[in-house]
Amino acid sequence: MSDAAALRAHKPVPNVAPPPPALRFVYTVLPPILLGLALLGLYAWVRSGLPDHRLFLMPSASGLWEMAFSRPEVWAELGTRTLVTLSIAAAGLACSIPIGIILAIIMFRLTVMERAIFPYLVALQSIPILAIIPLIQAALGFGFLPKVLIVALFTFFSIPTTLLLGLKSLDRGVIDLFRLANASWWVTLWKAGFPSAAPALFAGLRISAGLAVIGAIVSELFFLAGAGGLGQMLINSKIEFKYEEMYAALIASSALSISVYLFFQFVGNVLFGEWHGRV
Amino acid sequence: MLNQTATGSAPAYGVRQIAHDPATRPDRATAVAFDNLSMTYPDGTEALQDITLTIREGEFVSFIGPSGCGKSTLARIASGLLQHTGGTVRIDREHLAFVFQEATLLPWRKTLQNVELMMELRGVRASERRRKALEQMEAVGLKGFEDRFPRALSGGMKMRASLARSLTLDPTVFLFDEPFGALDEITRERLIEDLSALHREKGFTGFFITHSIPEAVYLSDRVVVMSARPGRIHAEFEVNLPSPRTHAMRFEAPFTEGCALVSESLQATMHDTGED
Repeated sequence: MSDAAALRAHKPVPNVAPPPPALRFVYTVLPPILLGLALLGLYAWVRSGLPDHRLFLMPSASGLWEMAFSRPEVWAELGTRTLVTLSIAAAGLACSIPIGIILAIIMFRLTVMERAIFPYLVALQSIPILAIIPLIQAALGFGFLPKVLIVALFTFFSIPTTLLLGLKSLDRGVIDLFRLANASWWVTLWKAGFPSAAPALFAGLRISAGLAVIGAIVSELFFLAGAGGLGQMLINSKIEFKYEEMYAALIASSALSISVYLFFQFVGNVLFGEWHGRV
Repeated sequence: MLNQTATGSAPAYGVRQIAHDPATRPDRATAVAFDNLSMTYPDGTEALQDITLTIREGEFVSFIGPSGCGKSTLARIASGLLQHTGGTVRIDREHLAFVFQEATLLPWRKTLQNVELMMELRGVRASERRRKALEQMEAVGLKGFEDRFPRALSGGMKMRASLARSLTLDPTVFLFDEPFGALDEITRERLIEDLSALHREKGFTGFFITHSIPEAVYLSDRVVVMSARPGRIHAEFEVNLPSPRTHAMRFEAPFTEGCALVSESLQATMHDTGED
């Protein structure tokens, strides 16, 4: 059967030397910087094609600096408004996280409750929240509470779903082990369920984190009375044709969103980075 | 009779088939007793049928049989993890340990905290827990690995940690469900030798499920061959080999012939049930 002509010699392949540390640094740090510069270049190119009367839509770097970031009063406004937005986002999460966790525990404990509740979680997720904001205003007025509710609605879904998924994927062998020791359901939940589900829950929390800031800003767009947050600043600066300030508020809101995300990532890494791997 | 070369009053080493479930020897009390035990799953699958078997205190019994013969089911019933549907089982579940095929260490706990787990769940004081955990980790050769997370342990070391965790309970009955099945041959032989030494030292009753004939013969006083679904006891073999067992013994006639005998019996159960 063996056909000498079919035999081919395969030469050894020498190991490629690993890149020196300096080059590795370049490989890891340079790509996002280069892409960022390319996107800025694209921005500048699009801007250069705009007619003069529409240039306000895309402020230049110098414009942003002169009209916004060089001015202490803009910084002061950004600071106070960021705190307002953050407090709305945090209050919303402070509602959705515990309720979501309790709901997940109930659904995990009783399959019949999962059957009952889960369809409505999906239904809740499918509601266009923007469309019901007028209804929320009519019901709850224009204070702090309706905004908190909006953030809670935005951030709720991923919490019970990811925690339930995490709890359900607890290793069968671990459950057997706890049963052999006559551990109660609560002890099993506390010592095995939660630690095992924590990485899944925190994946959900990181999604919720970004949504919380978005939810807070969206809620403010509908509530312009009183001392508002970054969302109100977006609207106000647009009304006053201060487009540089509007961009400054946009930048601040995305910085806030990233910060909340990084906060949950940090907490997660402290809790389980050592055994689960960092994210 | 095998090995009739043995002369005079010297024990004839070897493995021989014995009558099913001999009466309890008067010098040793019963540790585990199955009486007409049967198990039918809710879907109607008959997993076990008429299992009657007595395991004496300190005896090490291996169960071997084709896949799906219900040997794992038998261990789970003995431990109380599964409820049987017929007959009775007598066992002291307060002093029982169960080693699974997987090490089932909690990945978020360091090895020492994993070894402490069963004591923690049973409410043993923290200082006592630590002392016993360190003692058993040393007994299984894991000294120095207390602060490692399970993912930084090899497969064999994970199984050692699992053994140490069970040993902290000072079990009188030790159930093993194919504990070394997922390990490589070299690691496995080391662990079998260490387990054999542990059994000699601690004197617990061993209930050992395995797919490996040499493993069963090496460890056991008795090997039970089970037939395929519904699981029944097909044959029993008494193992009479020098104790302590030695590595070299594995290549000597009493051992190899004993393995052959068990293997033939196992083949016969496969033919009985039309399985190959």
